[in-house]
Amino acid sequence: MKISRRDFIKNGAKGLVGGIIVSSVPSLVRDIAAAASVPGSYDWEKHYWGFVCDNERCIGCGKCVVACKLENKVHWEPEYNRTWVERYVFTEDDKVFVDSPNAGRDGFAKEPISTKYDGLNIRKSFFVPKLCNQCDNPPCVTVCPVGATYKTKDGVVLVDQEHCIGCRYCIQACPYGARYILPDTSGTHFGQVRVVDKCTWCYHRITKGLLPACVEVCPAGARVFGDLEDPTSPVRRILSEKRVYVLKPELGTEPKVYYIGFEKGVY
Amino acid sequence: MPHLKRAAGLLFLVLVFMFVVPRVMPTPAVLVDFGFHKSNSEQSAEKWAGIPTLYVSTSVCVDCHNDKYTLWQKGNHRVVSCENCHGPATAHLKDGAPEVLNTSRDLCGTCHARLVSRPSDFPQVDMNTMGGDAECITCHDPHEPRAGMPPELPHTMEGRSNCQSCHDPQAHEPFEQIPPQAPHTMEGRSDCLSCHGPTELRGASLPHIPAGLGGTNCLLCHTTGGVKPLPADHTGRTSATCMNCHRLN
Repeated sequence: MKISRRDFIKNGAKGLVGGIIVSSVPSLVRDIAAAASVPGSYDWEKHYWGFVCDNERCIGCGKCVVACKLENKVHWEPEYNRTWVERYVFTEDDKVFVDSPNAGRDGFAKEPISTKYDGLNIRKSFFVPKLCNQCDNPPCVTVCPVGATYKTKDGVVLVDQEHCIGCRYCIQACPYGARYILPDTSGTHFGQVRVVDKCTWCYHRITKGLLPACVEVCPAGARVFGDLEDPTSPVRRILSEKRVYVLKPELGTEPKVYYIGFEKGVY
Repeated sequence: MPHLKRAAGLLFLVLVFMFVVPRVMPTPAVLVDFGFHKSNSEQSAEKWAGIPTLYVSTSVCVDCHNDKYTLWQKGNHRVVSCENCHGPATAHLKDGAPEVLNTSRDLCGTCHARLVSRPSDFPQVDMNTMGGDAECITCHDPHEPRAGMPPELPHTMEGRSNCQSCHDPQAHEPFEQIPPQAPHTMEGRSDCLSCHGPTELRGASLPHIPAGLGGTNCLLCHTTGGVKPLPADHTGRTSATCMNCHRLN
């Protein structure tokens, strides 16, 4: 008996649709189960983290860079940093110089500015700590082709290194240079290499009620961390009392690292 | 056409089998998770939250090292966490491993070497001249760096009586540099308290401070020319030290 073309298409389509529906059940079940689980005793819906860097207080000791490298297994080489410190020098003839020897890891005392910028008429100079701004509107998340980087509910941008394909789009997209590629296994937390890595604001510490390592060791109070949801947090106090600035506000990334003591020319 | 229905049913079953079995059985979970190009952010965040910490924070150190803590709490280094100098304490907590502490001049210089870029109110010294080649900790207790050091200037006379224990030209080297250099030296002087002591010992010949003013902010008026201005040898003085010499009447 011949099957008419109409019947064949009709039944084939039914089977196809049914198959797709049935086959999506396992992953749907998995997603629903995952969505229901809350990470540990920490409720990430109750927090929204913020960070303040005080350029007027930073002394350029580089302890934050060291602490970050140790705490997060970041490579010791200055090419790989989750946080670093930049020195800005403004001269009387309105030139701006920026440097960051070894990313500030060894401090700035070894090579005094007087020898490095010999002959310059320095008007003013200060240090600027840099780290991931954990943008509210993160371009790195937008460009990721596999959805491996995402924003958590408490406002931190993280990378799922098991899904990252190492395409480097996010490194290009980040206006703050906060991302780098893990070169080998010595810096990895979950076993992946040649995937992207970045500052997590020490997500493993803040979810346990500790401060990020860089904030913990800062001897000058130049790094302040706190909950934007909590009116009594030090970050909220600073935001309500001081004039603060963010890096590259014109890009609309809405960074959550707020700077005290800004200056035209700092970017 | 029951055989057509049978064929369609069979086709349906085969298709279901084709979609479900490979998806559920041999496909590794990591592939399924890719789904529509989305990782599971909650699971990933949980993983990030789960990695071990290294720095333990000062509040943990206090549990055992209370003596150091008491000292540290009073000093100017109370804003510097233990692990800043001592390094992360996790290994030390686990097996009591003795820490290897860097006590070099370089370590202190990391923060205190004079740099133009540092905030001007942050304590900075010239590392080439300060204290010769000695390690800083021979004089400065890192937990209370100003213990036994000259007070921050200008200082009051409160609780002090023997001026020359510090202000003595014969005293050891660091004190040669400290005031009084202007306006007077110690030469030919021995009775500091006649000027700098308690009110009743101060020289009666020096101008008195009217009692009603209380010596709160002398320079507010004594720099304007409206009242008697400061004499030339008082350059650089602040209101805080007027009462060290001038008696309140």
